[in-house]
Amino acid sequence: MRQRVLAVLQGEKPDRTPFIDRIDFWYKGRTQVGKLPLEFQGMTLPEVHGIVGMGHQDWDYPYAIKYKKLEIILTFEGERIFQEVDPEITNFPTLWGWIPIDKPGVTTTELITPVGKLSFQHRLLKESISTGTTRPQMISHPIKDLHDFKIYEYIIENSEFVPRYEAFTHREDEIGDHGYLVPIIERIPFQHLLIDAIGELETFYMLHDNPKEFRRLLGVIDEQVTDKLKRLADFSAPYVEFTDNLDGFMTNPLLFQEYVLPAFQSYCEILHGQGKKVGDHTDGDLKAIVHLLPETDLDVCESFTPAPTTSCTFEEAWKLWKGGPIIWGGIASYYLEDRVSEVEFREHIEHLLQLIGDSPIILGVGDAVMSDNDIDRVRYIAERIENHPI
Amino acid sequence: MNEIIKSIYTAVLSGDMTTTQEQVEQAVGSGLTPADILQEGLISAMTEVGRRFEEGEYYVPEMLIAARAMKAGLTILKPLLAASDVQPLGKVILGTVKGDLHDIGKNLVSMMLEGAGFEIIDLGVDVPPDKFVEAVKSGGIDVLGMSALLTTTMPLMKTTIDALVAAQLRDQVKVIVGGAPVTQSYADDIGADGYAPDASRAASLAKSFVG
Repeated sequence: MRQRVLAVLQGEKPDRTPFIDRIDFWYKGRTQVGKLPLEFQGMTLPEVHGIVGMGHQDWDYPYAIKYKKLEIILTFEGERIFQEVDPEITNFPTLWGWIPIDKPGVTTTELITPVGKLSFQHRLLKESISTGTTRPQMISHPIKDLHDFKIYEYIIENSEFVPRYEAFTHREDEIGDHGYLVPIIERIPFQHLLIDAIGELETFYMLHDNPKEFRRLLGVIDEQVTDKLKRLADFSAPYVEFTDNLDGFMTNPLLFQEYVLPAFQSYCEILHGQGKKVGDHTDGDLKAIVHLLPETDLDVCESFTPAPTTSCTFEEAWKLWKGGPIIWGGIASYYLEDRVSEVEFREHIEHLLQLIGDSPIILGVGDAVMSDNDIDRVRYIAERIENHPI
Repeated sequence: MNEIIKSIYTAVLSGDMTTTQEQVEQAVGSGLTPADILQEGLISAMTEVGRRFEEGEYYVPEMLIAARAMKAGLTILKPLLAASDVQPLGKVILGTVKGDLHDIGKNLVSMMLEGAGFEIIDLGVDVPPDKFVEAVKSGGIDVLGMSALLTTTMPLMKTTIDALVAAQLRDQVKVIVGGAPVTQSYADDIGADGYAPDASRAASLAKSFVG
């Protein structure tokens, strides 16, 4: 599967259309509630991928960031669970991997610097554990008012790049040829502020009320991202991906053109210069910005989730992105739900495959195979593709 | 349109909170009735915001900033409206279903409904069916709005409707649903009265039930 993905990324023709995505939500959710089908019981996630026939997509960071002069304290439901000075973090401030995901509750994170303190919270529900979507939700964000901007700036400015290429390669070897470990890099600055640092609606208020400070912070983050990307020259990966969760409803065309487009163009230039293809995690509703994505210079729109899960149809993206970016995804998880008949599901898959023909695409399920999805339908798609060479 | 009312309307449309407040105060001082200021100034402006949003002229930020300006004006009017016994257009309960913490869509719907003249009871996120039922039991509720962002939490919409049926309250309230994975077909299947794909259309839908 890895070779098929690489072939598509490098503009070559693979023997089969790659079909690769995540079934970890399905696997974890089914395991949690004791509903993992008998044939998969006792198997690891990669083994399940092997049986189902869908390539194993996973992600990891090829670098961490060391935040100097920063003390981080995590408290879960009032109990201190972690404390460190000058921490090395791969995903700041989402802190995936740091926030407990084995039990429901609220985790409070404090960031203490010489210029002030920030705090924010994640919450995990028991339903998120039982459905396998164990991703704690940020319920408050580090930047809450104007005063917090300078503290956040201080944190960003006092950070340094720490490569973890060996750890990445080790994980890549573990995934093996039936999968693809995607090297992910952080969100671009606007998405960083929108989703993580400030929060969606609050970002719009900040942008309206304090545009000067907002843009200043964007500039600080941009400098850090640019520096990181230049340092990735030593990292010999054919493909890297921004983790933006891009959505045209929130990042509307005006915001996209002002803040997102120039960032992508600038970052793609750096990464293309290193011989890397560049993708973005675009799992939101792209309807409003689908026509703008070809201008970004991105090579791949990964986790593309079409209608009816979003309002952007596969057909319009397929038509508008003929010259790129390449779609990774394209099958809405909706078609794997029992509200869709078997006939409708199969007709949809045939329609997609006919439309695609031998054009480049990395097929997958947008955003992922969910715990309530029918795994036999995933297996059907994999077999359908395997039996039809390009 | 009265000049002061016109300036309120324009201030809301451009999201100018300070001018909205100033002009509402001036309108009250000039003897205009709170009902007229509300209807012709604030609600008319938010109706236009909704139209522009549906037409793609406004996006979420513009809607949000306009709703904040409207709310600032409404804060001044609220005690006056209560004193003159002006009733809201209707009363709406809103909540994100059990197991789901996503609140952006719900909050936008809340703003647009308030902008349309409704009184909102926001139950928040991760709302269990029995909490929705209790809120309907309190009486006087015209519309119950449920939001879900995940396919795994969407079934709780049906569970909540079933709970309303079991409590013999289903006929007392119109149920509207929305959220990324929700479709008109799904709304029909679970027995909801309506589906709205966005906040502006949610306000129009709710208005159609109380009109």
